[in-house]
Amino acid sequence: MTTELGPAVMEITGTEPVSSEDQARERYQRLAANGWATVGIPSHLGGSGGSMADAAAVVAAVAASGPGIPIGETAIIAGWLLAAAGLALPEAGCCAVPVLRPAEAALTGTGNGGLLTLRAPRVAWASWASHLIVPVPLDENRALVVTLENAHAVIRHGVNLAGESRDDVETAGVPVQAAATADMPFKDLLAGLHAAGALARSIQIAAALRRVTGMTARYCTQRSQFGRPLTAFQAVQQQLAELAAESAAADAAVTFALGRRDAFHGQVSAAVAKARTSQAAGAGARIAHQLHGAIGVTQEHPLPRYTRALWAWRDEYGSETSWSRLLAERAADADEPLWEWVTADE
Amino acid sequence: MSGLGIVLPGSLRAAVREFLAEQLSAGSFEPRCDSWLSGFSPQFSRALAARGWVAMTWPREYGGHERSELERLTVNEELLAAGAPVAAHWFADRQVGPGLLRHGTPGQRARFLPAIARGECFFAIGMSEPDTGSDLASVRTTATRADAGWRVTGTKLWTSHAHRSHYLLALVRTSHPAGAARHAGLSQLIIDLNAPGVHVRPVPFLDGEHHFNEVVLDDVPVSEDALLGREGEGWAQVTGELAHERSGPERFLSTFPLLAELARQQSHRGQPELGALLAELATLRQLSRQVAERLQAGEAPTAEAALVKDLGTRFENRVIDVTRRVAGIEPDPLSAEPLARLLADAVLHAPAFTLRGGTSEIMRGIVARAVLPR
Ligand SMILES: Cc1cc2nc3c(=O)[nH]c(=O)nc-3n(C[C@H](O)[C@H](O)[C@H](O)COP(=O)(O)OP(=O)(O)OC[C@H]3O[C@@H](n4cnc5c(N)ncnc54)[C@H](O)[C@@H]3O)c2cc1C
Repeated sequence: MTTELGPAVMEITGTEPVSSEDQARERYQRLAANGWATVGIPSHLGGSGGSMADAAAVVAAVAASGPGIPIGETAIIAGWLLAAAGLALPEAGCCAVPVLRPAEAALTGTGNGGLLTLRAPRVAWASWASHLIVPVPLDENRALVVTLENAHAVIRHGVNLAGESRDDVETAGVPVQAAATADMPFKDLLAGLHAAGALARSIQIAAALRRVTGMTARYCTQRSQFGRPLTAFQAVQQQLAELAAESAAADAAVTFALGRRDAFHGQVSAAVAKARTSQAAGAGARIAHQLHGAIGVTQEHPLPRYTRALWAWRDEYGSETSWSRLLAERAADADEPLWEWVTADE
Repeated sequence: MSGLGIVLPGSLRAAVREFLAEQLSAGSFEPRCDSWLSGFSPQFSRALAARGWVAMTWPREYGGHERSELERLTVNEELLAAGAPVAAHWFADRQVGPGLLRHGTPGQRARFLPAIARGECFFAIGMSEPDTGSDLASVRTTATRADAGWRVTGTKLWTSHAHRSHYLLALVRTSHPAGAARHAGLSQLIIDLNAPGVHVRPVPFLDGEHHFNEVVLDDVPVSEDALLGREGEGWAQVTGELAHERSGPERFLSTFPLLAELARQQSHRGQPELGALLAELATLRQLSRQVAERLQAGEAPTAEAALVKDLGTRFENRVIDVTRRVAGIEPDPLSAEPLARLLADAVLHAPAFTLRGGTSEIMRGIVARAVLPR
């Protein structure tokens, strides 16, 4: 992962989580003004045009400051979806978020004059964004990607455990702003989109878990019971070691996925990343809370800002269970012995 | 209520279920995970008391119902399984009453027990302090002798429901005997939460709910008859009650409403993981029952109770893990879907399960010492 971008982003985000929606918007605006919010979107499509590694570094730096900012959606996931169809961002300075799981998506009429009927559950940041980017079936071999203003959509507000908007969205024949064709079946487009989502959340989980690990290790050196720092107790040391291992594993799984070149609709790299980071999220959060004791379950303490995000993100865009199932199926479907599949390059 | 004295546990169970069904259909509560800590309803507690389901094992003389520990266990597990709001009377019924019966003066018993049994007098437990968690003997809150009793100064922390309870049962230091063990010089005092110098401040839980408090005691006057038991014997008294606190069904049923909702959904029928949870649940009920029987016989099964708490709170967490694996839903506190709501509650409350009432690490230390050859 490129790390040079991290410090530049951290200059904007700082290290403290946002504590209100206003503050979150203000932080997002500053990220957007500096081009970070669309770093995963090619410049000819209106983004800032970085590599996937750049986008990952930015998303990680933002997640390290806490939840509440739609960066995974606007940089990585939107970047992949727009690039798949060569569709540009609707307008400069907009906040466009992708719809990953349309229960229903149909376009009547063609191209830019088309009318969209959409039903999608738990769309991340729908009520926050200015625009939605929606995949729509076209024919056997092709799909459409369309953009629309979210002012046209009916939005029922929901939240995840970190308080981030996860909204049900509906439109009934509303005009789209732009449309373009992706040369892949709709099913593949959705698979790739789901994988892009999984990778984005994996990056966020790994970054948040690293913060949690540092916070926990520091706390255990500061807190004393029975006249000794907590780090003097073997039971505490064992758990700290397990937490550090989960955090390292989450980082490694993300690094593995970023280092591979398989397109997202191959899904395997994202599956490894999300299966492992979601596992680490739960295990890590549990240990961090156990070692913090009661102080860690208070609203004032920074720890729950991160653990609530970990609990939310581990289930979004596929839990460890669903991605593990996919990996097991892929291994079973492969025509080669397991070890050969495990060591195959792509 | 008439007739309850002769009802067998089986029909007692049926009576509690009928009551719960009535309360549910009247909309008096919504089933929630962890309702014994966060569901505080004086009205509901009074309704239970009116049926004789508070102070069940205490002598009639003090408003009790002279039932067995097993009958009490039966009622409590029904209430918890239903996710009913029982927090208001829970601590007084579980800890304070038995403490008063064992160590209290006749005057103290007459003053507090009948009111607790009616569901009208609620207690908070003041053990922890900012620098005192697992190491309970390090409490600093100090009571100094004054003309007609003591004056108490110090800070208690994590005091559940102190903001809506009447009294605090506090562990305080009454002397520093030179050369004696750290456990010496501690005493239990019953402190009126409305007394001058008592300041109760909310400490919001991570989900924003208010049940925790900081209780600052600033030179609070406490009369002579507030002392529970013997001066300087606080440590032995407190640790003697721990088995009551750690072995009850609240140590394994905090997430049962979630498990019940999961099992209710046809699509999850026959999942082996669900079956594994049921085997563990039956085992935990048996273990808890065994501890209750030994408590009834006047024993102090401290290690067995610690074991129930460690196993039970791990089970509570596993219910969450299995629900996530089997149902594959995203937790959402605002969802219209009960399973998503119950899951959100359970996930957010889970960190507390293995901390409150003594952490898992401390429980395992107790169990380990007990299995060592002597
Ligand atoms: C929901 C909730 C309700 C509560 N209600 C009350 C209440 O009403 N009244 C009250 O008095 N208290 C209450 N408490 C406080 C509770 O009793 C303490 O949280 C508990 O005793 C642990 O103390 P601590 O939080 O200070 O953690 P610490 O003691 O600081 O422990 C931090 C970590 O270090 C570990 N550790 C500490 N010492 C050792 C050791 N020797 N060996 C190995 N590991 C060790 C612990 O296991 C834990 O993982 C409540 C707590 C919670 C979470």
